[in-house]
Amino acid sequence: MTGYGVSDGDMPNFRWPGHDASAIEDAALAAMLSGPEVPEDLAAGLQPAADVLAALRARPSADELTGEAFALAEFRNRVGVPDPARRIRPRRRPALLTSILSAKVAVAAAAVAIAIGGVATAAYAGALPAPAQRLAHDVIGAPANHTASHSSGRPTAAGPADGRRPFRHHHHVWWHGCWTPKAHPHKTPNPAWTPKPHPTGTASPNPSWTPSPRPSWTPKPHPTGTASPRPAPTCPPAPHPTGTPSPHPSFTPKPHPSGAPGTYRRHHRHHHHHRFPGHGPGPHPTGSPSPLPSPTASE
Amino acid sequence: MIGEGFAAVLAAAQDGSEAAFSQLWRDTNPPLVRYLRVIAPAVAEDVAADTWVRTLRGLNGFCGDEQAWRAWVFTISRRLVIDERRRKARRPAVPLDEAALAALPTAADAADEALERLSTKAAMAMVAKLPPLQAEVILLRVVAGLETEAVARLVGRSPGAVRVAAHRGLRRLAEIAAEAGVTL
Repeated sequence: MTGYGVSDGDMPNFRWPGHDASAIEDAALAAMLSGPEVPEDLAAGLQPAADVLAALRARPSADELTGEAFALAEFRNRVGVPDPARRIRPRRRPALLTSILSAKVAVAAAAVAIAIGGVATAAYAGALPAPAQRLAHDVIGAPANHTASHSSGRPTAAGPADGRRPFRHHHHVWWHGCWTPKAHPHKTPNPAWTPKPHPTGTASPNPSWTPSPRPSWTPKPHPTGTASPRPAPTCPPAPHPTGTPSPHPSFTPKPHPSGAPGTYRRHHRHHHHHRFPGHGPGPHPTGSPSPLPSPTASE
Repeated sequence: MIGEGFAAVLAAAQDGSEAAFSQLWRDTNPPLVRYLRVIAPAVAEDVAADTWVRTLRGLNGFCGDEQAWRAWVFTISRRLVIDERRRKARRPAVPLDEAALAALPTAADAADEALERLSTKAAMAMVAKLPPLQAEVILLRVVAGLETEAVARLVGRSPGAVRVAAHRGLRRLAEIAAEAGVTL
């Protein structure tokens, strides 16, 4: 019976397909899954499923407990020791130690390489101490220590051993063109020493006379006919225009014992030393000019 | 299920007590084997043994209640089964005849135990006829005793999907049992 004039009690209770007593059954199924107790209001159609679940929850059989001995043996091997981490460490320690050692070796090798490179660079730059520079010269062919070979001419507090003036006095002359004794808190200039006047009358910051340690060096004639800025370094220098002898008349540069020409660095150093007008380099046993000019009068 | 004393048993096993570990094993291994015999019958015992090896590796680091313990053990087992399936997919092998294995004589048990085992095996055989997800969900809910949320995490589905699968599986299981007419 259908229609609006029919009471609710007379309406048919249709069960939708798939929703038949789903609410009740879901609760029963949830109860079946949760525990062994079978719900009392369980539908008759679900009773076989309840029996299957009860069989699945049955107490264990003997064949399901056969692996216990193996499991216990494994337990003794792995967990039976007080601290399993102690058994793991010996396996990891060599790897860790190896990595640390290899890192240290690599760092040490890099440091040694850097040190050797630095020493070699310093040796070729001539920045090593005299003995080390000499050793580098002998071993790796670095430039010889120039100043070290002149140790006998190095100025001391009492004055240069070979009677030459200290560097500072001549440096002053180089800048001002003539020797003017400069007030010094510790040393007084030698009154007997007078700088040689420059041939041109004015001191050049770059004097044209530049001896070379190569005794055989002779200037080539300039193509333009003008004199070369580097005159012949045949020492002694030309007679003084004033007729007065040079403050260092005995200056005769000796050739190098080995006969080998000097290196560029030696030339460079000589340029520096012969900026002092009127002072030729003192004789040196090695044939290279002295870094310090030798005045005529010793202090 | 061990119940309230689980924490003490676990702590004792972690301290090295063989008795405590034996209790854990006796409580967990039978449902584990039943679960494996349904989802991976060919390698159930091997996977169960591997599961315990891996469980022992992490036993000292485990922290949780009995539900978490079972969920952890069954998760290890399930992943081992997945690995085994992948391995077999790469190197297919001819499986032994399950019927021949079942016909092999077993240790002499009591008659009740034999009957019970038989009914358990029959029940497992009926569950094995279900679709894989339904069978696995029912086993994890009933045999392993896990809650719906734990099962959902384990199988990678939502709790609602797990609930639906379980209910459908139970209805289907009732139909199978009714059709078989087997009284368990």
